[in-house]
Amino acid sequence: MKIPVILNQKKIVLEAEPSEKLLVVLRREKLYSVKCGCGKGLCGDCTVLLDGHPVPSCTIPVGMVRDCKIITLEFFQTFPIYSDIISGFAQAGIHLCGYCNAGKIFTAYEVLSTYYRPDREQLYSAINMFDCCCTDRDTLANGILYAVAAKHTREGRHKNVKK
Amino acid sequence: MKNIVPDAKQKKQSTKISFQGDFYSDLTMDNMLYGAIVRSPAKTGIITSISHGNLPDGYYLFTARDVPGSNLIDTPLGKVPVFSEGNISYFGEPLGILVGPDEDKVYELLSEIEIVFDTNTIESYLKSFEEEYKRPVLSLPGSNDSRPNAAEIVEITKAMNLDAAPLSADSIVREHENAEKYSLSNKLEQDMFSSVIAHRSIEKGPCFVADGNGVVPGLKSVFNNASFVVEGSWFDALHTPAYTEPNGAICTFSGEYLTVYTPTQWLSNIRQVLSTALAVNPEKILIKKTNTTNHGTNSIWYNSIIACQAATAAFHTGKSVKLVYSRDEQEKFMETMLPITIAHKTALDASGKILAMQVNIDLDAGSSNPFAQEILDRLVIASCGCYNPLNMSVSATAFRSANPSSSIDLQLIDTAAFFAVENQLNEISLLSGLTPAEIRKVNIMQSNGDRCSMPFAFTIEKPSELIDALVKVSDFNRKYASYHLDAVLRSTQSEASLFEAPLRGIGLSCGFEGSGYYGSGIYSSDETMEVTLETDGTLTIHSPPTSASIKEIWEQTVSKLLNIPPESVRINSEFDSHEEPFLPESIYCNISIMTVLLKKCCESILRKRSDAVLPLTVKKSITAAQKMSWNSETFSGTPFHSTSFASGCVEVELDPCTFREHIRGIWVVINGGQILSARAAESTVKLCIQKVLASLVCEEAISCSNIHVSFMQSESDATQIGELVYQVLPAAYTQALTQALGCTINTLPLRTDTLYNRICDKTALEKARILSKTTAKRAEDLDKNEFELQPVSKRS
Amino acid sequence: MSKNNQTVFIAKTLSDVFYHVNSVSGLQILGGCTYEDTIEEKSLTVRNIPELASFEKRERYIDFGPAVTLSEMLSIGRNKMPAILYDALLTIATPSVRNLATLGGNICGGTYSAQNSGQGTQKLTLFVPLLALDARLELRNQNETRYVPFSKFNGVPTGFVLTKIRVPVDEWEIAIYRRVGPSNIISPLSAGFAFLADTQKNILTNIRIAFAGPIVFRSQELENKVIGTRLPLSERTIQMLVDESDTLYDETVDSKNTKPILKAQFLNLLRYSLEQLT
Repeated sequence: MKIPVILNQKKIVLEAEPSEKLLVVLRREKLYSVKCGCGKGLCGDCTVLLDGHPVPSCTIPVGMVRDCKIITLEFFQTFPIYSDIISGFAQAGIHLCGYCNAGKIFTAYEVLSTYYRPDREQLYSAINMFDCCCTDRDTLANGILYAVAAKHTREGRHKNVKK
Repeated sequence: MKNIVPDAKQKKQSTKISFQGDFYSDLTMDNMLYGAIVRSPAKTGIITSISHGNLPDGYYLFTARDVPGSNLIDTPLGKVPVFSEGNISYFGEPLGILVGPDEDKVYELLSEIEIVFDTNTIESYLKSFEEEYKRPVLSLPGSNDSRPNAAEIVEITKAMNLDAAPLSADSIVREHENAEKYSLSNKLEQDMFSSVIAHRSIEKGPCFVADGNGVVPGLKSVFNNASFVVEGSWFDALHTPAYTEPNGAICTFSGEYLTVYTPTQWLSNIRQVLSTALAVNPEKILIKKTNTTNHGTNSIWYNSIIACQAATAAFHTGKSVKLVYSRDEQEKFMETMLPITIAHKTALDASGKILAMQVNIDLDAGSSNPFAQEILDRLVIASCGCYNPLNMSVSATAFRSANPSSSIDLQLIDTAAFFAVENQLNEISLLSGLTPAEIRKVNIMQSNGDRCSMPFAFTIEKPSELIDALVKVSDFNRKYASYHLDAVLRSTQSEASLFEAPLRGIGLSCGFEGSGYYGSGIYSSDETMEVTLETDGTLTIHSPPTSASIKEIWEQTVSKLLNIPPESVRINSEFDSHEEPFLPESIYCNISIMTVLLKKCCESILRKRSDAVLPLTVKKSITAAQKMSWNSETFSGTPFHSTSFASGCVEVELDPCTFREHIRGIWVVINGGQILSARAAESTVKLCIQKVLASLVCEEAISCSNIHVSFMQSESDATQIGELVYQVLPAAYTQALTQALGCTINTLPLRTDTLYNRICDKTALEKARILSKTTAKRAEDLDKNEFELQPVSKRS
Repeated sequence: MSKNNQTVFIAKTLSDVFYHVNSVSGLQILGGCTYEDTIEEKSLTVRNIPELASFEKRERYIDFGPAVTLSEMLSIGRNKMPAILYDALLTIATPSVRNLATLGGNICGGTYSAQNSGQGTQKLTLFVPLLALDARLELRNQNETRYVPFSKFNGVPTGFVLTKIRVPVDEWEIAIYRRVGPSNIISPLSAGFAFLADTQKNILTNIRIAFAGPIVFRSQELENKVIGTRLPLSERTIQMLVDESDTLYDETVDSKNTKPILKAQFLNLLRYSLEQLT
């Protein structure tokens, strides 16, 4: 089946069985930042941005994403916010293992884009179920907070911004 | 991401290994074939043929007979086949590899593979199935005379798989008389059928020494004369779920050269195994080591077998072959942790001092496990924990079973022993009247060299002070006394009051982490550190790639000692052909030994710097004297290069509505020598706590927001602390639950309904006791009445 | 058409959906596909249909389209939606799964897979709060619109499409939601408990008790018995209600095929909730 999508800001047509998981199809397109993890959507290894929101690509049948915007980590690295996240992680002493990068980075992205100044509860509710094998939650939370600071520095302060 | 073009100039390469910063599963090559393993659909039996009726062009099936060299690979505990030669050892055992250009097509064809069993063995399997599962099984129809009906065979063999999760391959079993296709003969040696594959036992103490009359008192006499005797059995099958890259390999032949991309952790082993199986000169094997994410023992040794499987297909097809395990295969065959059962019997004197410890350890090693002896040895060494029993008798046995090899992380190899001994100490504490902290301080090994009769010498610095620190920071004594009183009161009251007061418990546990084990039978302790001070003043550490934390620690260590900036320190992982690392990767990631050796190298450079010509290279390794501190013959001495020590405390509260526990707090105090990076150390410990919490209950990741980690001040050399939490937390958790519930929790991991089932069992038991007491009382009353009646009747 | 004859139809409007439902037999409507592992030969994705992917907040209720994701529901905020619904949403999987999972899929998912596999129905997480809140479902086809109370919902009838879920936003003095069972998966041990109560001048004016997972329990008879009771409830009254629930539970539920822990959890949670009324 031909499935037109906007993949990394380019309109392409994916040739795949509709029931094939998006993860498999993306890896076939040589987008290897999407890794095979638990297969249940819990680990975050296969996270991509679907219409701007992080989702687990291992659960999505590709037939469902027609005309949707998909961004993988390879392309996300060109976004300015990516630098904020990476510098925040570096400041917190996070060393990305490489296999769960997509999950960590897109989780951080979601927090940064949802909250201007996330509090502890918002932060931990975003990362609590995220079971990463290489970084503890406190360090990840610190990394996200440093990323928030980096983003504010880059964008300049916003006055009277509601949370 | 990465399309690898095989290097046409490989013949001229002098390096046999290189370290890739990639994941092998992300790599592709031109005209690459994808592989999938054909697996046995039954636990046991003899397979007479494996075939596919109609493989399309470009798709191939290879089995044991296609292995160019030897199909049987030598391991310390016997031969392991690359592909089964017919005699099945466990469910899912590899029978062959199916390869082809389309990955989806390969898996589709996999489900069409026909596997033919010898029917005689089906009958014997049915019998063993019946015995194992205690249910009636249809006997094989027509087994006494003519050949059984094929359809009935299919039904029966489908029934064989009731105990196993279905694989993606549907196997068709039918009788095939006079099969002329692939005939796989059984070449396995006789000792494969023995169930004991490793054993270790030690006895030490005055009771094993003949007295003046030449009589050996034995352990029994100690138990008979002890003030308290405590028995307990403990079951550990803890496994941390980890969704990292599954194991596999990409193999390609280019002329005489075999190139392998794989996350191997044991370069020397994979080279030797590939050479044996593929009949290739070891010098012609190029290993491209990719990122490693799994650290279980199976990932260390079985990866070599996987590489052989892919290489066999590459050999015959002349193309690159990529074999990637599915998540299901990874969990079932690479990460299976089979239960370890440990039974303790302990004798105490009136003051709580342990007079004797008798320990029996049973390890289900799976069908084959080269690390079985090592696992057993480490369990034996840790069996008495950090304590000093006057007499000890430990017997450990590893059994073969029809299961995939049990895989244990080498860093967690002795976790089960600590789980058992620490829980046993808790039971002892309840009986003796001493608090868990007191009983430990009475019995713990002291650092003044008083080793008593223990055959193993550990250097544990200030253990009592550490326990005191933990007790203080967690307020253990007050909480323990309070919860203990609640538990006692509750046990005397009615069932209705069960949930009136919060059900809380607190547990305390101690453990050590030994690094640089001298007694390995798989490899010798040949850790070596080589360092070069270059002409430009930079320092090069010649080592396989390490983690970022260790790299940071080494940079800081060197910077401090040699007074050079951390940026001037680099790690060089290129090795010439004769310098290949011999040991498994986990050994090189050993921060304590390698950091000590690094320091020695730097000190040596400092001494020689002024006189020597640059570049100056210094090499240090563990001294012969250090290695000789462990006596393999008598299994005694100092088993580890260094030991870190920790104590941990877990407080839980039970939700009386849902029968689930909530962890109120976790406290850990660690003595790991000098802490080289406080942030990295705390982060490491917290990550370990997170992993332990994720493994305590099946399919559940417990969280705790109240975690306190403290480090004792120490100037001793830094020691490994990465997995200390695994030694202390599980036992502290079960002890806390035991106190809260009022019944012993002796198994890990739990399920979400385990505590409910224990409460039900406990309630039923108490009701039975009450009933039996009531019945006995009634009988007693009846007797009494009869007696009273008699005088009346006599009087009348 | 694909080589395996699997097709995913796309609809851009509700009319398209009706057309496909009428013309294609055995059509499966896809939500976020986070629960179902496989999709049928013919399925229809309703992801980007405005009528189905939007929600509207009114004074007394919120109308959710079935294609609204769980994250979008959470974004409304705890203060502006029923607390038990919000609490239930937070217990579902991870934020990234919630970005994909839909309300319609959560309501219909367990039922659908159960119908197909012939197993007992496993209700998913949001079933219980919607049952307790007396949500109302709008089912439509090209010609007809039906309004079905949630308590009477047994799956979407053939030819119909779930188009709206109306959730009342009444104020409740006590709102308790608890999820039991493993948090990472849905299993026979998974269930949800919801308790809502309202009082006025120390009299219990309204109460809802619901429990669902592998079973569904909600008893108007039990609730009516409690309504009108003077507070605080005595221990004897609470015990009587718990015993009554015990009996009703046994009558409603096939205890042979459900885990006994579920009953114990339900009764304990009920007792705990009733004690909050004192």
